[in-house]
Amino acid sequence: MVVSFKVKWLDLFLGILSIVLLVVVFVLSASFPEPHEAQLGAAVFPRIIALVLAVVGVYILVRAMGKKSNAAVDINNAQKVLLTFFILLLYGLFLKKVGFVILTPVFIAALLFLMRFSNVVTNLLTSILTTAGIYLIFKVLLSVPLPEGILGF
Amino acid sequence: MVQYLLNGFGHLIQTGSILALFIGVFLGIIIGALPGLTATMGIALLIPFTYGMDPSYALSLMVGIFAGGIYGGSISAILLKTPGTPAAGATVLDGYPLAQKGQAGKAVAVSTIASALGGLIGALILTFLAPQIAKIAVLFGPPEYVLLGIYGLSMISYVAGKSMAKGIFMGLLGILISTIGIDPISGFPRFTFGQLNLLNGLSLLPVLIGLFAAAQAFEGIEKYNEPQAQQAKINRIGISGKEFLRILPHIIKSAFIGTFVGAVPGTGTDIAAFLSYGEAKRSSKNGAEFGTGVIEGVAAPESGNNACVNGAMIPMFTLGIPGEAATAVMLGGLMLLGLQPGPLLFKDNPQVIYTVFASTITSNLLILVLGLLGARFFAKVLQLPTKLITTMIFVLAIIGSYAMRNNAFDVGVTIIAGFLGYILTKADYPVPPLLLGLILGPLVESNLGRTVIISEGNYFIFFTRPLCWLFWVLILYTVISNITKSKRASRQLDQTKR
Amino acid sequence: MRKCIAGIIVLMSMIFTLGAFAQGKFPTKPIKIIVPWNAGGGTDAVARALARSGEKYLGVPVVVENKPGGSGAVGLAEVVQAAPDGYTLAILPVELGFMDKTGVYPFGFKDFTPIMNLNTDPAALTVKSGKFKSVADFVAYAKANPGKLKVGHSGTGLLWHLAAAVFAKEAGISLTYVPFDGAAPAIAALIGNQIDAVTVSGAEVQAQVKAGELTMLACMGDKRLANFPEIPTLMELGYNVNVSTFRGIGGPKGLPADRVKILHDAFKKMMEEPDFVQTLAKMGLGIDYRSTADYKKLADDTAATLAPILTELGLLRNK
Repeated sequence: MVVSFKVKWLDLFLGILSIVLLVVVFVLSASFPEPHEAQLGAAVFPRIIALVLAVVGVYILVRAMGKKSNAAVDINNAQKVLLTFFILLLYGLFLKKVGFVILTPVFIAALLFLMRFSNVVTNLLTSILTTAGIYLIFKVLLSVPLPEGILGF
Repeated sequence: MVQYLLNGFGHLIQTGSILALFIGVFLGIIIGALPGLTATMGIALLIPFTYGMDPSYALSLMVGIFAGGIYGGSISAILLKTPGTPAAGATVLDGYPLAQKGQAGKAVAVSTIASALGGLIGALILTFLAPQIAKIAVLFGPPEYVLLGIYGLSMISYVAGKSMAKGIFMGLLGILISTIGIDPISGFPRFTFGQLNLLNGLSLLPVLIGLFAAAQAFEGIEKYNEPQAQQAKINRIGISGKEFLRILPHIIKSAFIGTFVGAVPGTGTDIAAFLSYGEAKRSSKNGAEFGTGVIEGVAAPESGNNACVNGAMIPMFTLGIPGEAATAVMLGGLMLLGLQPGPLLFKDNPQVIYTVFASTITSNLLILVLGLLGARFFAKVLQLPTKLITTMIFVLAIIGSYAMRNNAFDVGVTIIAGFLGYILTKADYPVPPLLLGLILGPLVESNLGRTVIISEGNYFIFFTRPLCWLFWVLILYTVISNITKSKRASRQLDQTKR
Repeated sequence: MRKCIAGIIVLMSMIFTLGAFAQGKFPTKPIKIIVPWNAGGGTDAVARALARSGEKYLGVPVVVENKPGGSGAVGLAEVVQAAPDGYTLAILPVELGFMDKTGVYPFGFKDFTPIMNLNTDPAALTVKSGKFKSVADFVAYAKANPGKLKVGHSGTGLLWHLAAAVFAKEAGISLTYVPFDGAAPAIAALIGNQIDAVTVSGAEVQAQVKAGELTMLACMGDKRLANFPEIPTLMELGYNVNVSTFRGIGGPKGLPADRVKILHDAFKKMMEEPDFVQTLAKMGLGIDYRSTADYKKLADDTAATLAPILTELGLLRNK
């Protein structure tokens, strides 16, 4: 599956986003405390930056709309890319609760199967060996803590 | 002084500290190459083990880890587009394309030579000129930091890629994101939405790993069924004499930039690397080709960041003030060894100081040896199947961002930054300006706030201090030479079109 | 889903706690001390020096875990949410006493069970050598030039900022405060003559003072610093100023008293280990054992002293 959209739609989106950011920054910073005399105040810098950002954003937006450009962003294998994104999110979300040792082989195997890396045995073996390797380097050699999860190590 | 230094070398060999230095550099390279484990963290991990060690032994280990770690970050940056430390953020820009052209071995060799030479120059400055540099460094007040930051931000024009407007957009976005968290002047938490993890803003490293490494791995998923690019056979490690002469001036210039950036407290290896890269691109004859994999673009940031390692030790040893994060940890380590870094250390313990100086000089030679010997093996990584590399990048990116501060929040930052970076890069929205904004935004803002306080609201302070003038000249020169260059380039482009 | 998991966790921890109660034994598994700052800092050094003799006195290992972020809030939040079983403790910073009021921490001392105090370090008024000879000098200049003297500190709303303000109030002078990102850059700015004084701890300026680069005019504790016996306290000079940072150890709210006692007694012995004593001496940190009750009093007193200062500096943001 190929997902494709024109660059100018992204330009449009980011241009609008910069205006939204401008509004958000001004609304939120309205409740920042008033600066003491001869102080910059917490609101000034973000406001200036948000303002300039919006100017540049609108410039990009106008330029994109005025041009007849067919430049497009193509994402090949979009279903796999999206699936990877969700697998990553799940991995990140449960890493701490379940633990590195259990979840990492599952994660690696999932990606290898997704990319049709090799046969089942090789995929599983690769995922287990890689996990063991990382565990050895991080935890055993360098004593960097890894998420322990339910196993407790 | 030379006598002291020779004694230092003698002491280094006699006590066997040179072995500790070797171990330190070796471990440092591994730690640096692994994303999420920075040189700072390496030293912190080490401190509990130095307990009760002979000081020169422990110090050699720390110096080795620091130097090795900053160098090691470049290896994964070049091979996997995964900067091991923020210092290697700029190395990605040309190192990774060069490796993708099949010249991974050369890219690592250039990085090794530049790191070693840049580090060596920095170490020599540290050894012979530390007190003088420290005197200049403390003249740096808030206004100078503001201008240094603006000078750094002007580098956005060099890393903007195809569209200047989009580059500036991303740079500003980076600065805006950097304002999340406790305001440095009023102490008020801004834009945190009650999220404690945002109180100090987004951490740089997870964003960096996400934007480069994870984004690259998404690219790998997308192209999983395309054939793998072939790596050039590495017959010879290293570079030709001609190439060496091409990068030498950039190495030397970057070494001076890096040493000085290290010597002023509050700026570190990441800033040194980006400034060096920008200056190299500005002054190089083939500046237009930067970003496509030119050796100057690898040499400059690597020389700059390793010189910065030594520069950062200047205020630590002369004033007792750390130059940046890793030296702050090192300073604590020194105190635990019963040494009080500062002006008195020169008087009370010259032996220790000069042993350290000898270590810093030697550490760069070790980087050269280990790096060149290892280049062949490092480059072999790219002969692994791409699918495996893609998977490894994802795992390392996530574990690295977690390990940095045992925080699952940072993992989420990496994943989301990775996905956004992947999409944005496709549409010519460059990510390096965003990083520059993130790194330099706080430097500019907090020092602007301080400037307003110390000048009592008088903005003319930016024009009444001699060092400020130096920066004005530098900024103007950069901007003007940039404009004339781009004009010339567009003229050439017009001519070729016709 | 989340509630369900939380429920299971609570249930499991209750079973564990009950099991331990039934046996009447504590501790039976490793104890974790969370350091809410980076590895390699002062607090980290204190925690690690203490933890080294943990097994000797508690029978189980004591492990230190660094959990930095949010000016300490991220690590402390983890302890607040932990089960009050004595297995998750933290090094508590002085800022817990007031950073809830300034809108930074969503919790305060009341959300923790104090166990004991480990260390205190007084602030010190330090200037560039040759500029002022004494506190009287400094105050006289400040009175003649209100707001002209610029005092650097390690961050707005942090203790050294408040220390400067307490002194200014007591001396009846007006100072301008310049926040830096930590003590080190503030000291660098003082050396470079960018500012006129700093009010960070004596330990943090000791190298520069010993070298003669900086001059410590007074320390702000209730007694003189061991490393600088010749330098008076502000109390001796007639200013009622007593501001010290302190690091204590504590657990989540609701820690059973018998466990607090077991931990307190063991930690007290661990503090007497020569290893701990030497480590703190090397770092220039002052050992200051205080019992659970005294520690609580210290925290309450400090919070009471600083509350009016927060209002004065306009930092009061919560209630």
